[in-house]
Amino acid sequence: MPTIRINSQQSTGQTPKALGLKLAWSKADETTIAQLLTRYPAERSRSALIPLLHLAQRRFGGWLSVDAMQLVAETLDLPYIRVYEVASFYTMFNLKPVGQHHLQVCGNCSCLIRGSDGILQVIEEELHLKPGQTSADGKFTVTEVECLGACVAAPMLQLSEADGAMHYVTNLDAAKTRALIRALQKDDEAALAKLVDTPPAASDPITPTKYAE
Amino acid sequence: MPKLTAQDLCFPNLHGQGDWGIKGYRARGGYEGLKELLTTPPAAHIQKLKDSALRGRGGAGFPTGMKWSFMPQPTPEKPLSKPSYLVCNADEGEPGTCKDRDILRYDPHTLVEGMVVGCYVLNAKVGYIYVRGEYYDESSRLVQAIEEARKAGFVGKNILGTGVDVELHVHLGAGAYICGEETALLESLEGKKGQPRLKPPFPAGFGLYGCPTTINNVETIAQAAVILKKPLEWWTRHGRPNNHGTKIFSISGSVNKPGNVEAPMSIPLRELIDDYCGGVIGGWDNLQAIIPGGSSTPMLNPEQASRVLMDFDALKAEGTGLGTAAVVVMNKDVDLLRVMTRIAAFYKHESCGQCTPCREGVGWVYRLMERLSRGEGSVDELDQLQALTKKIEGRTICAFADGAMWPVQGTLKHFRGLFEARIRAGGQ
Amino acid sequence: MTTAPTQKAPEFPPAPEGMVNVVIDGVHHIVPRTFTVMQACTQAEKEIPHFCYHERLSIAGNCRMCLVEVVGAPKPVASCHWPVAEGMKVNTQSQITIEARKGTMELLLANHPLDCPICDQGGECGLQDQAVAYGSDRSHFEEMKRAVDDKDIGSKIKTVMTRCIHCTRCVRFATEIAGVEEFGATGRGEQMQIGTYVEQALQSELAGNMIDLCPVGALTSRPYAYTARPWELKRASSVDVLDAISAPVFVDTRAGQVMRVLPQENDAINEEWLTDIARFSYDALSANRLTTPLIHGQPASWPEAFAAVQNILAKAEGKVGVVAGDQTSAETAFSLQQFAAQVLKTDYVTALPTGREGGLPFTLGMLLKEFDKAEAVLLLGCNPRREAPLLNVRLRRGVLKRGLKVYSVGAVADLTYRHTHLGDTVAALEDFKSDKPLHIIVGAQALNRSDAAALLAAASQRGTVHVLEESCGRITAQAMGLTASAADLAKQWQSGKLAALWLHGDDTLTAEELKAGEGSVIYVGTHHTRAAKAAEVCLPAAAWAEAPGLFMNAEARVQEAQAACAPPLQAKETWKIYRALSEDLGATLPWNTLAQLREYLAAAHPAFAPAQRNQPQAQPLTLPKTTGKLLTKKFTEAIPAYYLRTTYLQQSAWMHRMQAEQGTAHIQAQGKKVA
Repeated sequence: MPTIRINSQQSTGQTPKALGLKLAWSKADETTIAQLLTRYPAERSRSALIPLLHLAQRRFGGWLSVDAMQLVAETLDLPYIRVYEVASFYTMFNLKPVGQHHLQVCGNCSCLIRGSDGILQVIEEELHLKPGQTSADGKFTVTEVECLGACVAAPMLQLSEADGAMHYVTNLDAAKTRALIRALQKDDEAALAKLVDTPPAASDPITPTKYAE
Repeated sequence: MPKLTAQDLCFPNLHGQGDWGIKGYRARGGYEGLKELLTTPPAAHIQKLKDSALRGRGGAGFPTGMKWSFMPQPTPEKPLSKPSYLVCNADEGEPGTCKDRDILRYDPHTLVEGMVVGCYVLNAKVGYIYVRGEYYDESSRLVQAIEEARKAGFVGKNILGTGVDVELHVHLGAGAYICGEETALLESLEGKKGQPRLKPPFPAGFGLYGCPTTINNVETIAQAAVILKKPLEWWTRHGRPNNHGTKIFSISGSVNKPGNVEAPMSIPLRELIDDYCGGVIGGWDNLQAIIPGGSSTPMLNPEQASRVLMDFDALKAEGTGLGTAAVVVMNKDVDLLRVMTRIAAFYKHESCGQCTPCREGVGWVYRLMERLSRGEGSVDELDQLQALTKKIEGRTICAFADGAMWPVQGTLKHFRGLFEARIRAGGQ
Repeated sequence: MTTAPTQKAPEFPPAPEGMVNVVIDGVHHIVPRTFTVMQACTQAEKEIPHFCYHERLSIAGNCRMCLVEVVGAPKPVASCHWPVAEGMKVNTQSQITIEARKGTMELLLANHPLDCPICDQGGECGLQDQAVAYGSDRSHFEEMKRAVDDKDIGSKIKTVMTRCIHCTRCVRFATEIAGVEEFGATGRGEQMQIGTYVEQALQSELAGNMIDLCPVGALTSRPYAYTARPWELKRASSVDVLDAISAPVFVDTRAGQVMRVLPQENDAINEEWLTDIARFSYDALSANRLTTPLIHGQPASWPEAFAAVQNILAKAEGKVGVVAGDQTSAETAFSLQQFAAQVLKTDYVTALPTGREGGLPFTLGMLLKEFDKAEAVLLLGCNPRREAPLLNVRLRRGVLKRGLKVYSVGAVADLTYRHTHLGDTVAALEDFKSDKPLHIIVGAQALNRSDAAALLAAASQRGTVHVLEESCGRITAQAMGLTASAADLAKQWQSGKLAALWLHGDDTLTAEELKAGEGSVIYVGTHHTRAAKAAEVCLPAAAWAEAPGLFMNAEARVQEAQAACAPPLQAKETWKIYRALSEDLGATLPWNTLAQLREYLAAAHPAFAPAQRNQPQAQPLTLPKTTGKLLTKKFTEAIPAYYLRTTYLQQSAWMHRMQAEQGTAHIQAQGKKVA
């Protein structure tokens, strides 16, 4: 079973070009894109826009610069503005750089009732970050988000990595929150694996690989 | 009521105790009888669904049999001029709701089989499952489940030799609650902003890519297949007339054992909380309010909560709704006004911005809630707030704004005194 | 056995096929089945307030101002999209409807800055008008209003986005009509902002129409900003003289100065659009004008100038070349023609720019509206997006809505719609076959070539030919018969065959070419152009907005332009110049008033008679049967700089600014839809 990858190369908040990331798809990406397009009728390639934006965000530093959005537009033969509109509409698309580890804490009703305030307080104590802030070294961003659909396991947060991996960490208390932060600070994959909800996937909807029995 | 046994459940692996893969699913009886379903005329299936009184589990509670009957059915003289689609709405975003997540990660094959059956009944060769973008691990399991099913011959061309072709695709969203609205979901699937469409036309006539489309919730589709496999009575023995079957309730908030439970419809709310969830924290007398069906449904006060049955019609009679059956319990230790203000902030954040009353009004309502819940304002403004909600409700392209106004109206109806107390205390 | 419930007798007899019975405010109407409630109410003459709805754009249904009560519906419906049904009852004045309108208006005004005193839209603002008529008398909004950053989208449109009500008319116009997908609505909810996201100047030649469409002061005209209030303006009806379509316009003046130019609505010609060069170039009317007669560049009096003219003509002994320019009205052309014949005694009279052959057809030979029915169009040396944007709009609509096939033989261009570029030389015509009846539009790239006649002949073998001329002025003058060939004008001038050049508003000869001749140039025109600088005598004339004039457009439709203001200082209406000069030179032209002139004109050219006004005379073209050789050279773009395509436009500071903002690289990156 693949381990959770803590990726330290990408997304320190710099522009894709500064990181030396060439804004072009790799050969593997092109295969993925071709496969993605087969899911939709041939003349409806625009349906692949959101999956492609997810892919671009993963490839080019964990956020969507104008260049990245333009690359996606050109790939699908869409006017740039139509891509800007879609990218700016959806919460998961970062139009500004985010930290390598993006801690998204749910603050909606069930989590609020079960103590999301306390979780944010612990995070502030440990990382000195309030919601909306990124650490100076670019390793952590903290945001408060809307309901993530894990209400019976509240309070909880979603950990988003710059390479696109995402994990729910639920049934949080102060201790578990601290443990999570430690694991991330130390790049301790084993510890992290124990904390996340669902074991990581062998494939994902954007770049499905063969699922081995 | 006696608790349901494994044989009574549509989702026996809801808590992930067993294998979520195809082996586990088949061991639990999955995919058995699929061939018979795919060789029965669709009309018979639709009639059975109508008789079952299965109602949509995505929030609106629309009768599923009737919805499926809206789709065009080909005849030898008149084949379909456009492809039909079945789209599964797995954009679970209603605060309090988390049942589809557990279906997707612990029992995805219930949905896969449901999609195959549903596509067959609706003459769709392609089915899309639109999963909210944040369900990364969950949708990955779904992808794997579909691949497992394909290997076993349950998805793809000429399924089990019946001549039925069904292809399934998983499509991720990217974080927008409004994409749970069916026409906004279609727009998002087509690669655009999730802005709801004007109705008419309705999706059954003009849906995905302008083709006839049915959109249903995960639970609805999964349960539809189970209903069609089992004797009708197996389903209708639960719940009151027009509210039959079992339902996953998501109970969260001030209870000792929050969780997703599959229970019979029309179960008394008190029984659900006391017997399945360890009761209210601090006891039933410590109860302040309960949101019965997700944040869009007006709250119940303790008196109502103590006697109401959990089904569509009973809650409608109380001026609220079953919605997604997401039960959010607030005891007296909860700052209720703060929670309701936070819900108002949610709607402000999630409005798509297309139409005037929602774009301008939902934010205005939030700001009033924020101010008045801190006591900064006058008592007259409570009436203005109520009047404002009436200027927004019913005036918009979709029901999002209605869902945003109802919790505020519910708060003013049952807990106006809390506002007044804060206002009299001069604001904090 | 139960008895069937008693059926109520239907209220109305069945409506005719394709129609339904509806009741609006208690009155019975019969309307088409395809109508929306709003259309039905409009037919019933019940005004329905609205912002986002526009007849020529797709339905958005987002402003919610058009909500009305439909009896039996659970909530008020958006009438702009709600379809009528048999027996529907609509109440436009009921409590439900009135409350819905008041509610929507209150919500619209909640975040609106209400800065009418400093907003250019004041006095002609949809929000103001509907707030007064349908809104409440007070607002309950006591929170902080949100503010939105202004966007820099170029020098045409000034943006104050805080005023934007998100009706999305501008977005839909840019996408659907102008075909330049640069404008959108980014963000979500109350964060939604209209703009280009990445700041850039709008690249469409029709962008100015967004100013008309915007119901509030979010998008206003930048050249017009802060210069006038609508109630101060006097309005005259005129026409656009800058292209062959000749859209009818309003010219608004204050104290004798043109403040702005707006389109009139005319379904047959321009629908309700106007090109940006017509809309924004009016500052040319007060820039670099010839305001007094000049002799050798020095101001002189009219009598002095006439004397100088007489001298020149005496020396020229009738070897005078008369060239009329691109803004020539019928009165000017007729005066010039008669003047040339009777006073100058020359038959070299042309309205063609230097280098062009005479005697070729010069109109479309078909109504613009007929292009809405075409199935296949071939553009031969024609870029309609630059030559006649208002025709291009129709072609675009055809491509998108009706499956119109457009082919092009000419320079590669982004036309805003998919078309098949066959090639950039005539060879591309060889193997081309259309399976649908073909309409061939021949444009500037072809007409400017020496093999123009051969091209027209070749085209006539393959379909119906339509000539798209440069401007209505050139069409009008050619209709008068000013059709001598200008193919070797420069040579004749240089060689001395022409001893004097009489240029009326024509600036097509270069400074070098003008200097190459031995004789004298007389320039009658509006601006101090290179031809004026090369002229021995300049006579200042009234511009298009300063004199009444009749103009014939590409449909052979004659329209009247009223004078909106007076010509500056010593400049005169052109027919008066020729009348006075003719008397001075002893061969008095027979008319003393404009009315008399028009009588003579109509007698000689019946198409310009009053009864024919706005009655297009589109006749199929008579084409040359030349066997001249076709050149193999490539077609090249005839209008490299759209905003500076004529000398008149080059006088406008705003045109220079707008041209500087046009980026071809950007267009190539975006508009790669040349199949």
